[in-house]
Amino acid sequence: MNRMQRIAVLTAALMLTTFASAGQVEVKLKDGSRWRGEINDTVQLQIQQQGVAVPMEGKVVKVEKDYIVVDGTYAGQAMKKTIFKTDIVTMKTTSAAATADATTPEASADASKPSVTTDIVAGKYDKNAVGVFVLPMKGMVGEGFRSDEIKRLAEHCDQYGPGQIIVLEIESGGGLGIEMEKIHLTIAEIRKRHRVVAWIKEAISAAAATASNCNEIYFYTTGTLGAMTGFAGGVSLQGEELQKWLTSAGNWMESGGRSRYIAEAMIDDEKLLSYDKDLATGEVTWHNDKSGAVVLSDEKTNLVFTATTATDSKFADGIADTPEQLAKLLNMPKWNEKDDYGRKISKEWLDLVDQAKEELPLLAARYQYKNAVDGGKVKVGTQIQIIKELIRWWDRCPNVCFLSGLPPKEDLQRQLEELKRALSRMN
Amino acid sequence: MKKQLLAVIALSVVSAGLMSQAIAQQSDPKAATGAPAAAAATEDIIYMRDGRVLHGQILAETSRGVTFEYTDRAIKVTTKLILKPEDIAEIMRDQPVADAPAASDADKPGEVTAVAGPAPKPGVKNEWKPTYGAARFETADATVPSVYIVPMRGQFGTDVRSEVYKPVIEDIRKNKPSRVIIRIDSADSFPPELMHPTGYDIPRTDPALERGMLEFENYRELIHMFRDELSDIPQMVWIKNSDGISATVAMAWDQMYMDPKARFGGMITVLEQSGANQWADKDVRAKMMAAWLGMAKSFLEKGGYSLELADAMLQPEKTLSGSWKGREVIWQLNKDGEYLVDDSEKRTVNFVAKTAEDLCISKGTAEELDDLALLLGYREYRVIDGRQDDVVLGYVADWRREFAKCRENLMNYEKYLSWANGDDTIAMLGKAKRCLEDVLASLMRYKAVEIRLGTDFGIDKVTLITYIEQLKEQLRALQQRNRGAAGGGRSGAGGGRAGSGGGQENPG
Repeated sequence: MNRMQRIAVLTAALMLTTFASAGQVEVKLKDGSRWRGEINDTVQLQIQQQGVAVPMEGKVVKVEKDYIVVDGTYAGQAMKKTIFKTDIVTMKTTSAAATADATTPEASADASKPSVTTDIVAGKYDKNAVGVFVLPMKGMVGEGFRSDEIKRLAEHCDQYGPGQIIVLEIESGGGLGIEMEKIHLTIAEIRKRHRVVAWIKEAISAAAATASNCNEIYFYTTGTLGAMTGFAGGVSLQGEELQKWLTSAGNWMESGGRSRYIAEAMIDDEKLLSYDKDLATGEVTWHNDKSGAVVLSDEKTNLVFTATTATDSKFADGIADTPEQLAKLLNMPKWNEKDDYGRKISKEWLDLVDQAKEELPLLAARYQYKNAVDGGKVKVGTQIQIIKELIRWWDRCPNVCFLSGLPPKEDLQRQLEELKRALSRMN
Repeated sequence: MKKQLLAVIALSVVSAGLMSQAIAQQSDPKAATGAPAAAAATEDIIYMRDGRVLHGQILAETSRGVTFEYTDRAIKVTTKLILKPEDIAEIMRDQPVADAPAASDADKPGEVTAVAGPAPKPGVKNEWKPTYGAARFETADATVPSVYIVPMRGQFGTDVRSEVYKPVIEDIRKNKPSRVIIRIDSADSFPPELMHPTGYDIPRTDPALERGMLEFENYRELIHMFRDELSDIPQMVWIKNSDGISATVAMAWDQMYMDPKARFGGMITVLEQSGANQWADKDVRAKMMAAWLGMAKSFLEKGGYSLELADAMLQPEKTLSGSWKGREVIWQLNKDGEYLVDDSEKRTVNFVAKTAEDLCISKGTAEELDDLALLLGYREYRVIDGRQDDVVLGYVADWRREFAKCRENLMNYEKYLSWANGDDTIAMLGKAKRCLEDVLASLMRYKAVEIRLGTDFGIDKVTLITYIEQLKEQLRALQQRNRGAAGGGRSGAGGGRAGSGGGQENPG
């Protein structure tokens, strides 16, 4: 075979290979994983919309560089939806498209396999064994730390049936009272069907209130929990507001099977707290005075538990510094996370919060100076783009928009209309 | 000849005695590398604990002994010796062979003489002295206990951060040392007398001092990496100096040893830096203090220290006394104990090495590594020369160099802004912009730089980006104006009154 012949054979082989894979497409997802399939494959997706993953099912009709088009059902409506690749959280094939090359055994075998977008099949997680779902909860309550992720994880756990163990790994210095209420309602609802566990690194103020709702509380040795005094503008709640907060926090504490006196001592430094412990049974009796053998809070102290005080008083159910130690306390044979859904949604949200906290002040500043030198239409056009971007942030990350003092979405929309009118008058 | 005979006899006696130890010999490492001892241009020098100084070549080393080819430099006779590790004070390897001196007493084996120690390296003060503690071996022999020394030096929060130590953790895992020694040298208060004898005096500390930062989340991660992820490897902290935030972190280890001159304490800085006690509202103040104290105390809990001790070390108004119950100290937040530690309500409790050891806070006091090894029960040990110094000290040098560049760039930025007048306006604004771009690049590269730009200059990433973009806009405006002016036939006009744009946003 001379050189020309060899090249011709090689070229033919390459052409055949190309033909065999014609129609195959690949989509890189938000988390860096990839979906591979073909046009006309039926897929199930989760799309990030306003910080929440919304499901969609349908046929892939187009795959472009930045987006795909899926013809299916979205939010209960049949539609052909354009979806940016960066918004796709998960994507898997539910039925493969019929292909001309279906007779090739290897090709058909590959096409029948659902595409993988999580780490579940990588061997890291075992969804069949007894296991847990972990949701890291970090940052300010009401900003990085919110009820939405707890709710999403619980809905995800529902797929595995009732009785799942959800571990909220808490590391937060507190935050907004309004979010606490939402978290309380969310956890109360989830506890009806799953076991909700708090694993404490740091739970101060609103984060402590979150933990108090849980079925079980475990501490890292370096964990702390408490200091739930409510305040606004540097002034503590007083009078009726204080009473309301004392009542709510006490109720939440009791809903987790703990004494309301604990919540009171965490809110008001003048509230006292002590306990007695039955040496035989280990049973703890709480007192809202100093009559108990162990005084946890005197007239000047706002209660904060450390690992030893929390476990000795049986406020917490144990101390665990590693997943393996926690597994033992949870009566699991070994540590097993059924999947990484909780960790992923937590990371996604926290990353988005960080991005918002950086982008929002930049956009606000740019509104003043960006393209100001060009004046007229260019300047107004730029401002329109910035306002649109800010509105999109309200959709994606309303918490940070609110906390960073961004004007309400309605105001921005009005401003957008005015700018558009001004621009049209310039034309 | 009589002298020669005496020397040979003496050597025979020594070697015969040592040979009876039935020490297993290993192959000759130098011969294996093709460097026969006789032909070597260098020699090994062994300083014996009895004062002898032996010149020759090390042939083999095991945990049980060193096979040494001793050369009597006066009579040029070589004899093979097997030396027990516990008899060796120090080994100097591959030293240039000096001219053979006249036979001296100092060089005679078997005779105890006053020893000056090894020849000093050029420019290095010879501080060698015979020690009677543990002996450090330079060997890879796995049967010799090994220590891995982790430096934690400088400012906690910048120099010492959890992410910096991640490669160190991997390196420890790889090397599997018998023990990890965390060497802490971080003092917030300077000069040292601020802590003694009357305690830590916050108002007198230099505000420009690089005090440790309240990065408890990061320190929790640091502690977790060492104490939980490496829980199978015994660990301890060895305090050279630790006052301020670093002391809080140090107490997360339950095994503490101190340098004789070490200062330890100064935890008043937690409340002072947090500003918790500055809140006007009584209830909010109580909440904030409880929260910060709780977080700090949790580190001491990790180390197994009592909460009473923690309270007294963190809160100036707490007094402290202790009573012994066997080897345990029972702490009380009052003056009623057997030993009054702190009767002042204006300072937090601090310790020097002796009091820390007396009160069972530290397990012992050691100035040198040999002393420490002996306290740990090692007669012989080796130090693992891992990646730790390269990683940690390299990182510190790198970020500090970057930060120094940032300072310079920020000064230059101001300078260029002030020079941005007349014909030079565009050029100077361009230079000012480049200065800020360099600062931004450094900030993106090192978290420590980001932190220090915030604390020292009040600058963050968003501010820098905003300034840079504003300068770009300003430059564009000037360039457009110049182009317009040139197009209109009036060269050289414009730009003169651009002023020092961005002056009101000057971050400095």
